[in-house]
Amino acid sequence: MYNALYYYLWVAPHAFLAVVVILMLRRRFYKEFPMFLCYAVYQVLGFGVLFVLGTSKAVSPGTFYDAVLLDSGISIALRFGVIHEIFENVFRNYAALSRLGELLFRWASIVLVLTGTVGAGLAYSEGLNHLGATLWVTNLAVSIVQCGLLLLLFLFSRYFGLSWRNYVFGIAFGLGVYACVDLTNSTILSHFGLASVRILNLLTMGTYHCCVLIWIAYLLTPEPAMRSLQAPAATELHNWNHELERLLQQ
Amino acid sequence: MITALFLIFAAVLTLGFLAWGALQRRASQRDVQELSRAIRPVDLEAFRNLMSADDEGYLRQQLPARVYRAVQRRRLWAAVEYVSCAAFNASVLTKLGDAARHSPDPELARAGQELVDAAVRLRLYCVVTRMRFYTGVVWPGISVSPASIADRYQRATGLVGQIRRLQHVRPAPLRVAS
Repeated sequence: MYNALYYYLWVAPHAFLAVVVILMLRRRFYKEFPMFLCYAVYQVLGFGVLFVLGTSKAVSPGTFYDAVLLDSGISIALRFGVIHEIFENVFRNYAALSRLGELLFRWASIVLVLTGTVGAGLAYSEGLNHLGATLWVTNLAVSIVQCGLLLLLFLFSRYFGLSWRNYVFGIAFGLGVYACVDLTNSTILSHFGLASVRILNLLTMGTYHCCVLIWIAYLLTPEPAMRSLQAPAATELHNWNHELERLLQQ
Repeated sequence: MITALFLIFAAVLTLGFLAWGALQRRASQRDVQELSRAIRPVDLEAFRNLMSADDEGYLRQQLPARVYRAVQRRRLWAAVEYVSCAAFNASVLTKLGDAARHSPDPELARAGQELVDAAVRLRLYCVVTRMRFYTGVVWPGISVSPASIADRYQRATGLVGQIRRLQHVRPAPLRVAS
């Protein structure tokens, strides 16, 4: 039962990611999100290689583990690229904020990397073996940074009332959900070690599956229908403005 | 252990916020009439009294320094409330501008873009002004004049009028999304 579920959750999200790639190509979203397309393509191809290595008897566990580490490193780098792309896309249409958005990303990244390093160091349990420590603690630090960046972006855009296109929101939302669950699991693994690894692995893989389905759903969802709207009466706004002007020019 | 629990709590909280944001996004596919109802009312008479330079000078002269500082703090708290309302309304204007920006009418779309820029700048400026007011609450003696908020407000609201005129001349559908 565990094996069947494990293999399903390993294979299915990557099959659905192939759908994401096709959707992006067909709807030409790759022009706005080339990094996300790279990430999706890489995930599909990387899965193919890992699947062959993982199921081949000729490949030693050590070699497979090295391949998993390499794959994780590349995926993490690409996910950072996608988050940066989301930042750029959200701020692109707001001239007043575009420079601020770039600064926000840069400084938040620096602060979060420091926080992530300290947080992962503090959450790390002494009882872990070396391999577990390398993978999980690194993953924990990365999850803190990615989760923090996405949270910051959501909070910032909510504060300023910025609008997001459906698929942009979908990409960020899916990535955010994955980062949050990954952060929880990495924390538990870093602290409690192998005792909970099987169930948490399934949880992470299941979340990734959900995340890919979220991307598909948002890529397929059309933008809100055009509706006839009336602009609000400007009288009150003009009154405020007039009043402010009168008072402040005293 | 405490760090681990804190990280798990933070992750769950963030996840909850994301889910809430997604639900809110669905709920906020609404028209501008609803947006305009969201605009917070401002008591202009009260604000007029609050920002009166004459009143401030009078109070400074008539009241003992300690009492003046207390009164000035209360005035600044009230001013913070006003700027908060302006900031909130600026985000409503941003949404309205976004709606116009996606209009098929190029002129309306351009006006929408200008409104978005002006409203976002106003929102930014409100952040700075609020910080200045808070500083003024701590040190009531320093100058915290928010003069250029009025200009930005005028610019933003003037663009609303422009959009309204354009819609009146060439009624075009607008789309509002969060």
